[in-house]
Amino acid sequence: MNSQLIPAPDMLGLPAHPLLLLVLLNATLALHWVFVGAVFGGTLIVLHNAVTGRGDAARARLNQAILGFLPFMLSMGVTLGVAPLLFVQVVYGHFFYSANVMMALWWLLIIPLVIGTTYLFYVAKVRLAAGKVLGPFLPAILAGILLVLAMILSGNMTLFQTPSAWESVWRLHGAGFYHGGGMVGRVLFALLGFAALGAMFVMLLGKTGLAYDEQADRAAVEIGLRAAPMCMGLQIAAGILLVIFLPSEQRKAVFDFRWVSLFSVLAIGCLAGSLLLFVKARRSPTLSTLILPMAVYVLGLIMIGFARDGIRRAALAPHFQLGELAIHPQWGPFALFLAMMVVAAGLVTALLHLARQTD
Amino acid sequence: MEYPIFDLPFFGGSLLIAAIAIPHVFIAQFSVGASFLLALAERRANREGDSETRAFLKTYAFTVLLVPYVLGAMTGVGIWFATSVASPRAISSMIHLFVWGWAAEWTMFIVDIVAIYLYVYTWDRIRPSAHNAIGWILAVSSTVTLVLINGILSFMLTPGSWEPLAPYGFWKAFFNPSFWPTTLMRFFVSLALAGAVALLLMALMRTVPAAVREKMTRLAYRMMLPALACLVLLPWAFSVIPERSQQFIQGGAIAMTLFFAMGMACFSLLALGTILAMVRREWNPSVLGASLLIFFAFVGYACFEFVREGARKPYVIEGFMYSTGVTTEKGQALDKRASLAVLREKGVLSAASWVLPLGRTIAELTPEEKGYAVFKAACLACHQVYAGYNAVQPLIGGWTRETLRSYLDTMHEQRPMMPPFPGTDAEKDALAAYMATLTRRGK
Ligand code: HEC
Ligand code: HEM
Repeated sequence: MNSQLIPAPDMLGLPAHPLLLLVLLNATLALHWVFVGAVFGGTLIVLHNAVTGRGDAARARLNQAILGFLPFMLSMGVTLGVAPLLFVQVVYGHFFYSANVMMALWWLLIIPLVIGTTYLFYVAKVRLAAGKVLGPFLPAILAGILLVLAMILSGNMTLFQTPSAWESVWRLHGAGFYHGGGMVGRVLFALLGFAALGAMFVMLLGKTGLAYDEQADRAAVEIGLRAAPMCMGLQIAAGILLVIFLPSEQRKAVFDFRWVSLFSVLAIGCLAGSLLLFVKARRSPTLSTLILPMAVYVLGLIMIGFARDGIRRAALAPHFQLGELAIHPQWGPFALFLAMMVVAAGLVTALLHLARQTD
Repeated sequence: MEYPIFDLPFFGGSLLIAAIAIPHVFIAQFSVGASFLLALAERRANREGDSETRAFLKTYAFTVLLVPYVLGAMTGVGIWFATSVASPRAISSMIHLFVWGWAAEWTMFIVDIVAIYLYVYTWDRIRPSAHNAIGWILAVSSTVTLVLINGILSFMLTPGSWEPLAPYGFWKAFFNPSFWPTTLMRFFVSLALAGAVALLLMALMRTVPAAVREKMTRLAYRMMLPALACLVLLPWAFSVIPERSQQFIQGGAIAMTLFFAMGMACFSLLALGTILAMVRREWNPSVLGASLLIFFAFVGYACFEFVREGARKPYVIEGFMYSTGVTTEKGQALDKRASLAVLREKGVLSAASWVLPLGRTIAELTPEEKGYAVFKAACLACHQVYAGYNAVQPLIGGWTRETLRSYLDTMHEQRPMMPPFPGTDAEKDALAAYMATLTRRGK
C-alpha cells in the first residue's frame, strides 16, 4: 500500500515507557472484559432461562436478579473500557484513529446501542418485577445487540492492525465494516469467553445469596457450573483454531518461542486450569472453591491480552515498531494517577464496607 | 491532515461532537450538584429524624440522579468516539499530553459508579449514617472528576505558558490561566442546576408534604445563590482568554457577542429570580417558575460553552493546532508532516493522501478535482459545501474565480476565525477553480 496513507506517530511522544503503558492497557482491558463479559454471558443465561425455564418460578426470579444487576455491570464495563481506550490511543493512536474513521458510522453506533441496551435491561427487569412472563424475545434482542457491539469492537481492532485493508474499507467513506483479517475468529473466541464469564457472574450471584431466595440461588450455581466449563472448553478449541488460521506473519509470531509464545501458552494454561478447577468444584461448590478458578480465569484474560498485543505488533511490524516512538516521561502526572488509583481503591473498599452496615 | 476525513453530511464533525457533548455536560454537571444536595439534605434529615424528607430524597436520587446519570456516563464515552472520528489529530495530541490526567479522572469514575448505584439501592436498607457517608463519597469523587476534566478542557483555549515538551508541561497546561474561573463556575452552575431541578421535582410531585417542601426549597435556593458568582467569574475568564477571542466577543463576531451577553443575562436572571423568591419567602414555586430557573441555568451555561468553542477558532488547541489539524510554528519543530510551514512548501495534499480519490495520484487529477481535495483537507473541518454547517456555497454566491483566488491569500487576515491557507499557490489556484464551480458566476 501507499505508505503515505499511514499517519505519523504523534509528535508529542509517549508520556512513559511503552511497556508501562501496555501493562496498564492489558490490566484494565481484562477488567473491561470481565464486566462486559458478565453482561453478554448473563444475557445468554437469561435467554436460556426464558426458553427452557417456562413456568419455573425460581428461574424467573433468577432472571430478575440477573437483569437487576446488568445495567450496573454494563455501566462498569463501559467505564472500565475507557482506560484501555486511553492507553491504546497513546501507543497505537495513528492506526487506531484511522480505523475509527474508516468504520465511523459503526463506531459511533456503539453509543446509542449501549444506551439502548441499558434501558432495555430495565424494561425486562420491570416486566419480571411486575409478575409478567419474560419470553425469549427481549433477551434475544439484547443478546443480538451485544453481539453486534462485540463485532464492531473486533472489526475495528482488527482493521487497525491491518493497514493493507484500509483502502478497500474506505471505499464506503466511514460506512465500511471490516470482517477480514481473522476478525470472525476473534469475535467467536471473545464471545465464548464472555459466555464463560457470564456463567461465573451468575454463579457468584447465587453463592453470595444475591439471587433473591434459596431456590434461585441454587439454580444460579447449577446453571453457572454447567455452562462455565463447557464454554471454556469451546473457547480453548476456538483459540487453537484462531491461531492456526491467523495470517502467516502473525502465526509465526506465536511460534517463534519468544514473548508472544510464552503468553499464548500461559493463556491456554490458565483457561485449561480454570476449566479443570471448575469441574473439580462441582462436587462441593462453595464460595472458596469457586473463587480460585475465577481468579485463574481472569489471570488468563490478562495473558490473552498480552498475547493478542504481541500478535498485533507482529501484524504492524512492516509499518511500525514500538522503538520508533519518542519517550518523554511525565513522572509527576503519573504519580498523580497512581495516588488517585490508591485513593479510588480505598474509597471503593470503604463504599462496599458502608453498604454492609445494616445496624 | 494525515487521517481519512469523515464527512458527516450537513452536520459536519463539530456539530456531531456538540450533539453528544451538550447532553453529556449537562447531566454530568448536574450530577455533581445533585450529589451535594442529597448528601447535605440527607445529613440534616438524619439528624432531625425526618423520614418524610428522606422519602423525597430517595425519589430524587433514583429519578433525577441515577437514571440520567447512566446516560451521562455513556455519552461521556461517546465524546471519545466522536472526537476520534471528527478530529483525530487534535485528540491525539491532547491524549499524549494529558493521558495521566484522564487516567486519574477515570479512577474517580469507577468510584462514582459504584457509589451512585450503592447510594440508590441501599436506601433504607443500611444504617442512615452509613448511607449518608456513601453520599458524601459520591459528592467528593464527582467533584474531583469535574476539576480534572476542566483543567484539560480549559487548556484548549488558554494554554498559558505551556510549550510542547517543555519541562512541567502537564502542570502548566493543567493550571492554565482560565482554570480557576471556569472550574469555580462549573461547580457553582452544577449546584444551581441541582437546586432548580429539586424545585421542579417538588412542583411536579403533589404528594410532597408542606414541611418537606419548605425545607427543600430553602436548601435549593441556597444552592442556586452561588451562581451569582458567575457574574464575576465570567468576566474573569474573559480577561484571560486570547486577545483575538476577546475581540470576537466584543463585536468581532456578532454571534459570539450575542451569546456572551445572553449568558450574562441568564445568570443575572437566575440570581435575581432566586433572591426575589427568597425575599418573598416563596416556599412553593410553580412548575413554570422552577422550569424558568432551570432554563436560565441551562441556557446561560450553554452560551458559555458555545462561546468557549467559538472563541477558539481558528484553533482547536490555541496557538498550537488549527481546527484542520495543521500545526503552527509552535509545533513546527516536532511536526514533520503537517505544520503550516511544511505544508506551504510541499502543499497541503502532501500530508492529506486520504482526500484524493482512491487509487489516483495528484498528477492525474483535473484542477477542479484537485481543488475539491484541497477543500476537504483545508476547509471541510469548518465548512460544509452546499448546505448545513457553515456551508460555503451560500457564502460565495456572486464571487468570481479571481475574487476567490485573491481571497485565499488573505483569508486569515480578513476573517481571523479562519486559519491561513495551508498550501502552495498552485493549490490555491486549484481550490479557486473548484469553488468557482459552486458559484452563480462560476467558471
Ligand atoms: C477554523 C475554521 C475554518 C476553516 C478551517 C475555514 N473557514 Fe472559512 N470561515 C470560517 C468561519 C467561522 C467563517 C465565518 C466568518 C465570520 O462570520 O466572521 C468563515 C467564512 C468563510 C467565507 C465567507 C467569507 C466572507 O468574507 O463572507 C469563505 C468564502 C470561506 N470561509 C472560505 C473558506 C475556505 C476556502 C477555507 C479552506 C481553505 C476555509 N474557509 C477554511 C471558519 C473556517
Ligand atoms: C462503549 C464503551 C466501550 C469501550 C470504551 C470499550 C473499549 C474497548 C477497548 C479500548 C478495547 C481494545 C483495546 C485494545 O485493542 O488494546 C476493547 C476491546 C473489546 N471490547 Fe470493548 N469497549 C466498550 C464496550 C464494549 C461492549 C459493550 C462489548 C461487548 C459486548 C465489548 C467487547 C469488547 C471485545 C470483544 C473486545 C476485543 C476485541 C478484539 O480484540 O477483537 N466492548 N474495548
